[in-house]
Formats: sequence, structure tokens, C-alpha cells
Amino acid sequence: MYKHILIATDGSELAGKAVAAGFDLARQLGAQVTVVTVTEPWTAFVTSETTFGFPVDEYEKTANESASRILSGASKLARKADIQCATVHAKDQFPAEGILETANKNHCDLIVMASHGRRGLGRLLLGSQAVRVLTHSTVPVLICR
Amino acid sequence: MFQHLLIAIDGSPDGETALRQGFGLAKALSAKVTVATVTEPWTEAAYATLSTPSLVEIYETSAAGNAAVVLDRAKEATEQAGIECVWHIKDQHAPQRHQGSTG
Repeated sequence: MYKHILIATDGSELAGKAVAAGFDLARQLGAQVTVVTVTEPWTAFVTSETTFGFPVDEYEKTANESASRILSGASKLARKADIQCATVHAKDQFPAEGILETANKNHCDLIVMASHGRRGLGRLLLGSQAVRVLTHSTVPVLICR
Repeated sequence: MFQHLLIAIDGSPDGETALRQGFGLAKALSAKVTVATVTEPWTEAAYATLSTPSLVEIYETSAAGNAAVVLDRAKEATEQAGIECVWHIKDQHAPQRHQGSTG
């Protein structure tokens, strides 16, 4: 069945469920896993008023730190579950594009992600990035909720 | 993990893809499978001006026929894949109500 599963996480609680489900699935299928976390471009992150107090290099430092925290957490879980797991930090991209590009580059045959990201607020049945991934992906997508 | 998968098909090529993927996954996970095909209510399939009881009947017969064809084809695939499968025709009709309001 699936040989290489891409799991997307932003470190949120819901994404944690996607990570757990993806690892479970990978274990049962004997698949390898790549975990990706995406950080957005600086311009998308700041509003003009905050720009002055939050320069680019500071933003990048924070983004890198947060990404490596998220990814090392996932690596630890993978080691515990005895799963072969690579991690990718996709920088300066919108989540959906970063996820799709990583899936493409690594020839993943299944994408696992949560229905909403950190800012999803649960107002919609399906978050914007999940919809984008579903719309543009050429491989099956498992949406966890 | 997943113990019971629902595979929704409508007889289209994309539905076939879903069926293949679903069967593959079910087999790998030793999960149970339910295959469903849904037929729409008659009111959505017909124009109001055509609403005579005889047409409702014709629609229902052909909808049931289509669903049977779709599910039969899936059944062959199931047998080939050696998967235990629960068959389920989900029919969203409310025939009495339609006939009552149009008769």
C-alpha cells in the first residue's frame, strides 16, 4: 500500500492527532515517514505596524526555533514507535504550498494532515490550507479531525 | 487504527480509484469495508414540471438499477481482492412524500 507517508504538523494539538494517526498507519503498513512543518514568509506574518519592532532576522530565528522544536518532538515519537522518519522544515511558504512541494520532492504517496491549523478557529468545516492541499494534491490525502 | 472503512462510489472512474485505494488500505490494515453508493432524491433529479407519479416510479426504478450496477461491479473487485465487505445501498428517497404531494 502506501510506502512513504508525509505528515504535516504546525505543532498544534489537532496536528498532534494527525502525527499520531500517521505514525500508526506507517507502522501497520511498514511505510517510511517524512514529517514537515512549514513557516510562512516574514511579510505574511507581520502587519506594517509590527514590522518595525520585529525585523526579518529575528522572525527567522523564531521561526527556525519553533520549527526545530516541532520536528524534534515528532522525531522523538517516531523513535519510540520504531518508525523510519525524516523531518523537513519548509521555509518562507504558505502551509499548503510547502506541504505539496515537500510531498512532491520526496515522492510521498499519502499526505496526512489536520483539518485545521493553529489559526483555523474551527469556524469552517475544513480549514483553508486543508482545502488547498485537497484541491491540488495528486496523491491521496488523509484529513484528521 | 482504522477498523472499518467506508468507500463511497458512484460508478465514475474517480470512484474506481477510491475503490482500489480503499481496498488496498483495508487489506493492509485487515479492516472491514462498507461500500456505499448514494442515489439522490427524486426532486433533485427532476424538474417540478415533470412531477407525475409515473415518472417518480421510472426514476426510482432506474436509480435502483444504476445503484445495483455500480455495486455489482464493486462486488467483483471485492471478490478478487478477497475482502470481507458489507454492502449498503444508501437511498435518500422519500417516495411516499413525493407521491403524496404530486398525486
